[in-house]
Amino acid sequence: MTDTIKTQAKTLTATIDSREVLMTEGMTILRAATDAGIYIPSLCHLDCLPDYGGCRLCMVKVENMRGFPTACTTPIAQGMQISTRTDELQQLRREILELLLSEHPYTCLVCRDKKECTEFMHSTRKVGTITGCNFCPNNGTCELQHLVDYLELSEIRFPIVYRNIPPVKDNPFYELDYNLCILCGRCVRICNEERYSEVLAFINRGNAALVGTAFDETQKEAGCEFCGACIDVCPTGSLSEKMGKWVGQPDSSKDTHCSFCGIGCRMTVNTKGKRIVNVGPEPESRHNPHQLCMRGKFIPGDMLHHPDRVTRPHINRQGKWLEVSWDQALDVIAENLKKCSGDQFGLIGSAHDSIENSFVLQKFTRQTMRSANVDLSPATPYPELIRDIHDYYASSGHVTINDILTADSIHVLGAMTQWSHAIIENRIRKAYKAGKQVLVAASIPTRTVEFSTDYQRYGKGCEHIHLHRLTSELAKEKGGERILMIVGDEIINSDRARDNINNLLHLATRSNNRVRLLFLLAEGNRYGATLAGMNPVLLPGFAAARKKGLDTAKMLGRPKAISAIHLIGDLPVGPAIKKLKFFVQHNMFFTPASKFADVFLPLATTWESGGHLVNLEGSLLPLSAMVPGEDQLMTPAGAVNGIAMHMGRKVLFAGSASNPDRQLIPLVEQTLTRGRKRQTGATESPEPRSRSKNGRLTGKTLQKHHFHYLGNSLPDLVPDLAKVLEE
Amino acid sequence: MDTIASSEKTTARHCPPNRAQDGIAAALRTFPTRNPDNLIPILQKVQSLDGYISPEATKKIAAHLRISKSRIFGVASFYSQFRFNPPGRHSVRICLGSACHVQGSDFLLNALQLDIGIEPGQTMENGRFDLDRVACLGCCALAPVMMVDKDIHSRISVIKLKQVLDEYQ
Repeated sequence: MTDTIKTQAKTLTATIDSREVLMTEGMTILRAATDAGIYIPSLCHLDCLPDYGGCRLCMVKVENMRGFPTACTTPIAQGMQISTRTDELQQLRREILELLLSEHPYTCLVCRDKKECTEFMHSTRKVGTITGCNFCPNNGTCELQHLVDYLELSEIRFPIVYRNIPPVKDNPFYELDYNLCILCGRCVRICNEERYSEVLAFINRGNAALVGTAFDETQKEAGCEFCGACIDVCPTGSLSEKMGKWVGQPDSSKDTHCSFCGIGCRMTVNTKGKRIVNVGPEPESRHNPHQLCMRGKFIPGDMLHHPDRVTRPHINRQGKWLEVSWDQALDVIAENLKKCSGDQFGLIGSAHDSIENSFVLQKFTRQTMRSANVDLSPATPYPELIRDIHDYYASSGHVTINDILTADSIHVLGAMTQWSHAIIENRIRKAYKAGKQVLVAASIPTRTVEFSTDYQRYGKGCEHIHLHRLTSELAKEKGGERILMIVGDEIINSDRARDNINNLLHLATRSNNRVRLLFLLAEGNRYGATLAGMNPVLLPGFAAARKKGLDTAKMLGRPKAISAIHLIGDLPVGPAIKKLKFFVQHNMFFTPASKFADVFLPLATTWESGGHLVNLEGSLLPLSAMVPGEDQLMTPAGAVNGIAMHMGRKVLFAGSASNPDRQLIPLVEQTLTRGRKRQTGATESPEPRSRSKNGRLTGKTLQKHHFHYLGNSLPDLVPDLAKVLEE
Repeated sequence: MDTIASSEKTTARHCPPNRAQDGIAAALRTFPTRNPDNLIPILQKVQSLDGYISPEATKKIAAHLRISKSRIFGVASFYSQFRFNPPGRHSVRICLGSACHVQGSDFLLNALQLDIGIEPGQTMENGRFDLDRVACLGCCALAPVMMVDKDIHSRISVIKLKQVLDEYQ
């Protein structure tokens, strides 16, 4: 990691392959060479893990140094004379590689027809297991293939040992074929030393050594969290995603940010034509993969290319879906919505949508429809939540995910980070391993407890009592210890959210920034969407609305509260939806709620249209369009603009839907950086009021809040995911 | 009467009673928690109590040391001193050292595997035998050699092998 190298370190000069190279003290030879653009082969090294020196392929020759030190473990020194590619070294490396390959099917590597085969695919494909190049999922991006080319290896003197281990396919998301494994140990190390899932280990010894789990348990039984980090780092094809296996080699890769949960992790998506092949490092750059979780790694492709995806507008004619053109659909909507403008109309958006879409949607509701009923689904029980969080960040500085590593003590309150925010969980585990104090309090014990110094369990729905006790204790403390509180679902989505948040904000303000708060927002863009005005009481930029509208719960709570709803995504079916006069659903799939919809529009997601989001740290992140998507899909912004035009009202924006207003993104940036100085919260009494129902938060909430995209339940779409979550 | 007694004995050895499991819990208490350095002594202790490293015991060790089952299994499977299935009533060890090998002990091992239907490192389903191979038993002059429990059987042939095994029920 570059950031671990201190900037004050001394600068040294050394010569690598007769090139003078400048580098900082403490760097390894491999690192220095990579920075200087000199390639040294390596199979076990990963930038994100401690140096290992296992494969011995990175051996180099250093003048006046005995033997051949490994570049990945030897620190560089002043005046070193290093050669990376002498005949002697190449011969040694060839021998090592030959030994490595004696247990790896290598026909693909040294085949005489290799060139023609790649070009014309003339060989027959008749075998089910990987014995050569034909069925290897890594064919073309294999690091071994590169090495063979680099070392000009044309023959392997050892007999083939095919281990004949049956491939493991009972895993929902990836396949394991240990016949291809070269035991480099990358997957074991990333699983144990970076993700702390501790599922993979080297088992047995000598010839029988394997990467595996205890007593041949399945990955799931062994506690696998399906983060997919092992697949990202595997240099061979022994670990491969099921999703993109038969799509072929990707032809382009793009960087974007994940919008499933509020963290907004960076990710690379490999695509081929209109299809996502996989989410993972760009081919040939496995050294420092982005760490993701199950959702980011495996779900996008499954979701976007789902066979049930609706790609044409539909009109409901007496319970039957009629496929129509966009013009026809928009005409029907315009005609009906004209009758329901004003307070009769409500719009429910999604917190997974981009800022651009959210902005246009609220503009449509407020300007075109003259209604204030605009909200996100699922709504927070406390509409001003995001504004309060924003004010807190504005007055005491943004809290970032990496603050978890720098705080002295970490309180995890009512969060199931293992599944809901896996990267936060990862930071918590790192902090625990670094000897920090980690205190967990939740109503359900999760695996986070294993990485905590203390665990307190409170009854379901009693989080406020714990919180009250905790805040009053902390308020008395006068130590200099920096505390970070990670505030999870059970606090934010409780019926007493307002009291809870005020209580915490009060503590944070009084502690003079000694106690800092990180709020775990469930959806990718709840912050950004609220900032863009998707809120019944807040206008864009968190300005208070003069006319207050109904929130989602109120729109759906009282039948006949409103008569028309435009919905982005999905909602649970309630009596209010059945009683609507007119109901438009703009979604990716037909859902139970679609039964009551009059018009169904096919949705282009942010994966297909791009945009921006604001993550839970309050930073603005770009989303890029990954795949073009089907022709008939439209973004929510494009659809409402069409509706406005068909109604004969003013257009909401001209030009592309991904950039509806040139002022919008600069405005968002400004709001995020400026930070309005407003006294935070603490006006209400932190005393708990006893009015809430007990037992609201269970495993179901986890699914409801975290395993959905635009309201669509992911476990329903991807049955494998449901299998993993059964616990 | 005999069969009933032996079947009781089998269950006793196959599923260690709660007493043995409590023994593991008690043994674990003598080691500090969260300190993986003690893993090998713990595994040795567990094996001496149960006779093998069971998945249940692994789970307990994992909870005590706060490391994963996979890591424990990874360490334990590296050392040949640990076994992962319950010992049979009689343990058969067949020598594959140089002298025995020259005298055809690998044929014997094959015959033995066919006869009792298990591979080295496994235990018969009825708990009668467990099988292991060893490198030398120190009586190469008597090769090929087999050891059943603590008795040495010398100059084994395929026919003699069956006769010897019949003595142990």
